[in-house]
Amino acid sequence: MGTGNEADQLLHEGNLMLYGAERTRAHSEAVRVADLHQDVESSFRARQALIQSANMGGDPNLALVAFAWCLGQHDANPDRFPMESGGAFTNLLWMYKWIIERATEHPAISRSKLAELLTDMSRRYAQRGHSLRPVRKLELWSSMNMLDRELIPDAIGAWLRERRDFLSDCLACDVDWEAAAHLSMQDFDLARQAAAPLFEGRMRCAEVPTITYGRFLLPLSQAGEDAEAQRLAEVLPRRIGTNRDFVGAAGALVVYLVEQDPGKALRAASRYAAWALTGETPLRRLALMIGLVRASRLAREMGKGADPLGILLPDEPVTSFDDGEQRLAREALSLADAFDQRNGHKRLGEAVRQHLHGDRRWWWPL
Amino acid sequence: MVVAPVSERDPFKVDLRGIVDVLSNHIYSSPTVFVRELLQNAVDAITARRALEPTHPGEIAIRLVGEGVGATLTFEDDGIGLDEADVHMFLSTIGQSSKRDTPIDYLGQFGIGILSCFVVADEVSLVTRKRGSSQSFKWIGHSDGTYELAALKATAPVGTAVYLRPKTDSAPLFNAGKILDIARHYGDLLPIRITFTHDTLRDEFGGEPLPWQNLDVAKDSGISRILAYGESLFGDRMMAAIPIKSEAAGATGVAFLLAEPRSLHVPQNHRAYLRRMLVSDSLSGLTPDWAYFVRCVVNVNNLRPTAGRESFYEDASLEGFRDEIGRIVRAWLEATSRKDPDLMAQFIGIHYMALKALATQDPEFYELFVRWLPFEGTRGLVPLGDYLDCGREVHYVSDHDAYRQLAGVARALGIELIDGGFSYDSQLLSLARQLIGREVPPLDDDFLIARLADPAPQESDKAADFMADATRVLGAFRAKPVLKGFEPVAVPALLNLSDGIAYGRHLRASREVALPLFVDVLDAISPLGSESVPLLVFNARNELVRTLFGYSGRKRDLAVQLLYLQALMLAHQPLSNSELELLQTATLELLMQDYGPSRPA
Repeated sequence: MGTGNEADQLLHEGNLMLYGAERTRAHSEAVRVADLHQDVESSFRARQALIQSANMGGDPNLALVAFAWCLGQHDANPDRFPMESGGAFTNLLWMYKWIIERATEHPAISRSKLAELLTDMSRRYAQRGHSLRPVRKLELWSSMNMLDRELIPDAIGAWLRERRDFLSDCLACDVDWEAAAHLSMQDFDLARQAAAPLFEGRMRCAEVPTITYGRFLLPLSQAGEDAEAQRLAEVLPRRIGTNRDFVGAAGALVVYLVEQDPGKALRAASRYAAWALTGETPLRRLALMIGLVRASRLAREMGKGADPLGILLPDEPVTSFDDGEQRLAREALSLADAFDQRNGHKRLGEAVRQHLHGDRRWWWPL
Repeated sequence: MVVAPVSERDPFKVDLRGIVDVLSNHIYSSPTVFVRELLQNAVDAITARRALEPTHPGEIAIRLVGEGVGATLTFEDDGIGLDEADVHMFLSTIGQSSKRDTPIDYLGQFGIGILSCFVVADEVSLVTRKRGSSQSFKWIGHSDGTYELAALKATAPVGTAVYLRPKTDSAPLFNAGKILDIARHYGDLLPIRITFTHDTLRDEFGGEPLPWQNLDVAKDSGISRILAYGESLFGDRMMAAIPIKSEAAGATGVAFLLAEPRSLHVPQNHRAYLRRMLVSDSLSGLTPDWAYFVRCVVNVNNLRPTAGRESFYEDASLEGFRDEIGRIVRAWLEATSRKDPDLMAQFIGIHYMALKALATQDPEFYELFVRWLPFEGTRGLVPLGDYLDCGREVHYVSDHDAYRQLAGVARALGIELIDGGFSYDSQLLSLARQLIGREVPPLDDDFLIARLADPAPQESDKAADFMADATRVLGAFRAKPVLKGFEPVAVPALLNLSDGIAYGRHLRASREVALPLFVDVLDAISPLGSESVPLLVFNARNELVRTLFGYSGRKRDLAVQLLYLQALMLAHQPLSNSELELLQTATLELLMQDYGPSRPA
């Protein structure tokens, strides 16, 4: 193997890290070294690791770029670059789920392009005799994220009717998505019931229940379950850590704290501010943008100085406190409008406008 | 339409063999847990008697007569005992426990403990007499799900004795050394005296204070004893011990700091007791993820065990206890940094990687410790505090290759440069402004361009044609030229590659091989032309570059292309297929050309 072992060493070093920017960077570096040595097999392995790290570490664009390379190599030379080998995390079919999940959360990916991606994924699963359960699940996710509420009940049924196989998500993830689907239909009781095993600590995985806690924090508070909401708010900062994968949970936490505990809200807003503009998908960042706008307003009302949250946009330094707040609000609205244009209705823009003023109670998909 | 029921409500039928199979194969990780279950029942019986007789000392006797096939193992306690109703209710009804929903702190609560005996024995006998009763009973349970109960004429002592004879395949377990080891393993910290006898062998354990209860870790004798205890438990060298106390979890214990570095992914293997009975000696998840340099031994009273009693439920109580241990460890580190800098330096020397990981996760920890952590750079491998206090500007670059390329330039500019290519370093440095109010900015394009000296006006005039050609040639690679004068003069050009540019190069490599569907998706997310542009900074003091000012036409274009490719290679960047092809054609074309300038300068 011609990689001089440096790429493998970087892969190993990254594998020992928690998901987050550092792990992604180590695996990205492994790709660079493997490419440098023109060792395509090693480049393939390194990109497989990068897809996982970037996906779980809050950099889905990088995961997509690496996945496109791997899939292209496989299609050009299937024997040399197998679609399925070893465990789930060296299986391109498994990774395809992550790619489409995040693609639904990007306004630039049109409905027709999403449909093409799902068709391609479905064809590849069917060719190898795998259950289409993951495809159906992503169709549900797509309906949820495009706020096609009328399609969700049938999509849940279609998903759950398909048999499980080894390419199906773990049980904790399935429970989380089922609960999320009920939240997206604004049925809190069913969602709470579905998520019970996660709240009772009986199931967990790399992302669950952190991501679940983020989804439920505001609905729980709105439903009057104050003690449980408070518990989640207390454990979320540790669970979120420095992993941008949980930017949605960070956004929900900031909004919750703005309503419940101004002091903590400003600290949390300051901590997560840098996540609002880059990394993860635009849909997941929207919640944090709203949280930061509301935290900024709160800071202004509390008489804090200019830019207390350190909300500095990369291209143009914010010179006054109002600038940062207004610019983030504009950015959030512009993103929501882009989603609405993709989705073909005005549901998200309307919700974001109301959330920005704190006068909307329901939360999905933010 | 009402349908007539086929039968009245029937109770479920329970297949005891099936239940035992579930216990042995799915709930318990080892057949040895029957020892723990019997110890647990005995302790609970004594606890119940003590509730009525607070001065009752209680004692548990384990006796093994013979070994292997034909051996008899007895567990005898002088606890509260059972009467006939208790036997029917608690011994013979699966899932019924006398200990659930009572205010007394019992160890067991699932009502399945006695069944664990059927994992190793086909028949379980029990003789018992309840406190305050004169009637003794003998109960014999069979693994086929039947049992017999007889009133005894003789009067047994108050308490309970359980007798087991091994199944054939469990016979090797009925060995004196093994039974004693297992009983000690589970019960060494129990608050009740336990005696074990086999032939002439007699051993005693239990009934002692917890090993960490009366030790003062502030005294040398205390610390050496507790460290020796930790080392014997975990088989690792320990460098410090931190007392643990939690009111909420009803817990005490010790967190040991490992004296050797560990990876975050090595299982943490803590040792946990629930009301002094061992739950696990390889428990993970007891401490926050960042505290992977710690091994804990704890005794808790208020955490909920899982049915197999080999771990705790992942609920709010465990989460709270985990956070509390995190706070205790952090407070100890903070205090040590103030009171015992030598010990702190030793700790950082061993665990700096772990501490860096921790500092990226925890802003408060970052504030306290980042100045202690070592960083590699133009001052050598020294604590960040040395860089921050040196009175010069400090910057970092995020990879080794950029550091190698720029360290000399930075030195010449009087700037301290840190190599952020090591794990966590860039991330830590990028947080410095926000968390400790000290700016350690990356050495980015704008900074570099601003700080490198502009060439003299007459040089710029000479270079005007060259720069116009370079702009055109590099445009094909989505790169831009800049002309500066800098040290070392031997370097003809620097290629500035930020993270955004690295992403752009990934993107272009993928576009070259991706399917049309994915090219569309990549273009939608990262439209062509939206990527950051790499800057090729020509050195106006370099002889090659100055010579090129005097060339023109195709020959100079080729030289610019080759300088760009050389800069890419010096920066250890992989060349794309088109760049590789260009390297060959440009070199070949240059070789085919005549030497000498095509027109006078």
